[in-house]
Amino acid sequence: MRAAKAFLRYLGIFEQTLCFLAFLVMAYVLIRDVLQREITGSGWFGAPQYGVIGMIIVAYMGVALASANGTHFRPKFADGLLRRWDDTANRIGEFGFAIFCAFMSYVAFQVALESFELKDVAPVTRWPIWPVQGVIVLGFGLVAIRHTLYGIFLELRPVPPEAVEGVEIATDREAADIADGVRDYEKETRS
Amino acid sequence: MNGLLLAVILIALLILRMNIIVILGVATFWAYYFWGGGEIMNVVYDMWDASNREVLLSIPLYILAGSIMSQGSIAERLILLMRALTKPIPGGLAIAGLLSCGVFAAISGSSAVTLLAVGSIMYPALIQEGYSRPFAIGMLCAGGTLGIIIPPSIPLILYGVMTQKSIADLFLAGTGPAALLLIVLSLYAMTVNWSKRGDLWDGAEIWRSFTGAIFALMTPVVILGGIYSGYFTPTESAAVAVLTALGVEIFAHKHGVRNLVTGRFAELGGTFKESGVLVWRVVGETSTLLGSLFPILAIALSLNVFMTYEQVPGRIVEFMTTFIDSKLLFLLMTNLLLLAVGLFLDIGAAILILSPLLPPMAADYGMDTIHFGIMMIVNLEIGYLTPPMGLNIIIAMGAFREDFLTIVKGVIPFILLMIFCLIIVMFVPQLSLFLID
Repeated sequence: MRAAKAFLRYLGIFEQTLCFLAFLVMAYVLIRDVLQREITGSGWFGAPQYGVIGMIIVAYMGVALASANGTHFRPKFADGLLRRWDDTANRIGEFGFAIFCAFMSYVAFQVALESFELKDVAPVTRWPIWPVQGVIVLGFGLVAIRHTLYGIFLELRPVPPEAVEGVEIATDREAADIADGVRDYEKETRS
Repeated sequence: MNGLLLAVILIALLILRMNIIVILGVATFWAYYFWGGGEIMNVVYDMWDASNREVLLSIPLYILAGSIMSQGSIAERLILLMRALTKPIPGGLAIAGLLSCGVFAAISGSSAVTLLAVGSIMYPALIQEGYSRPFAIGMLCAGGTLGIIIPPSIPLILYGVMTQKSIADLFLAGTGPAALLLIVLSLYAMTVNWSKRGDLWDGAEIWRSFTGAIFALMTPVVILGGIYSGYFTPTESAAVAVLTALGVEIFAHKHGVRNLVTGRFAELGGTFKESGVLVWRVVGETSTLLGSLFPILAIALSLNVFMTYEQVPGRIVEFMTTFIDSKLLFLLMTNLLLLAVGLFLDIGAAILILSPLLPPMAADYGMDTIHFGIMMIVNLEIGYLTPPMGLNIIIAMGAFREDFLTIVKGVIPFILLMIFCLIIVMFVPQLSLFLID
């Protein structure tokens, strides 16, 4: 389990670094476009398209980050039905998500392969689109690996911060408080 | 038969604790496989088309701008100003809290950000001034929900993307209902706290707090003014929001300009370093949020494409009109459905799932789909205050360390007031549409 934990930690750093770089590119091209338009009178040609590429990378690598932080949306009102088999249900949930993501990754790979063979290019930038579509393959593939490991080692799963939005802007202290709040809340609603 | 089997599978997935992406994804793949000629690769093609849209760029940038601002001192400065302005009014501090929520929501675009940023300062102050705990917490939770109706609002952007409506128009349409909510909540705060009022207005204090908050106040003016003057598109305004947030925090509030002019480069360097760490953290958090929202959006749009191609909304409308023969009944049923959905689903997911289905029906009953969208969001906003998925209740329990019953007791009057506002929004379309051509 220790090896899996270390692997997931490095994977998380890789995912966050990639997201950070893509986010910077996205924000930079859009901000530069606006500023350049204000200063020189004409914007940066194709800037929104470059921004969209950055956003796609952020979004699909963000899927992996959301898995690392346990922030994927999940309806919980039916959880009580399998309360007695909590661990088994959680394990099935993790493996089910892993299988779905692996399937998504496979279908996305087929699409990227087709784009590669047909030499599809993006409008405006004229860049080949298969590398960007490859991010969908990578994002879902990494999620599949991560959730397979979560399914095997349930203890590795992140504590789900129910208040996704709240936690993502909260300080560490507030986030910890919110996590406590979630536990109290679950206790209250269950009772 | 395939439909029935799909329903059984979806229920099983729900019981087996699958994420919404899986549930929605299985439904979409199933639809393409059994009713779309087996072309499952179309799901990814549709997802690609859905992702490859400029308008979506505004979502991560608004989230980032909101996160940067919530970490800085903008909320505190706004509260000081609102406090100075509402001092002699009965229930002044509570009204200051609501107004701060409103203005902060116009900057951050998020309910949870608003609740945490304003609430963490206002809650202890309200208790200290003798406001009851249930009232204070209920008021802050309700004030926090204003973030999703006051522009720029991420749920409004999602609705615009799903229904192909102008996001600028949706932002404009949100202002009337948001003002109504602010007025109604403030009147309630004033009525129940009639005996609580402070000293008379102090000109010096107002001026001091106004100059302290001037940059914070200018932010929504720049963002929204830019959009409506036609100077920026909503996407560009999101980029400007990030730039403004960083500029205000680094140069104005952290005295970057003063340090630069007076040559205190070490302090300036420290500010930049601190801001760099902040940006690394908030970018990670924003990417995480985007990662949980975006695949649902892409898959929902794929399902939307399939349904539109197969004329599903049209058939549902046809089917429904045989049972629901009046607009009033339709509105009643829709609002009950949305209130029920708000109990269990996050607002983003609810909008993505229901937007392809409900607006065409509303249009068939003669409703403007922008008005319908605003009504839908005001309705789903109530879901932030209702268990079991009430996001603001969960945040309040954790951040303010209050027990569940106190919070529920506190939010009940505000839920009733919001339902009252919802009814007005529902029956007075002009309230949403008066600013739109």
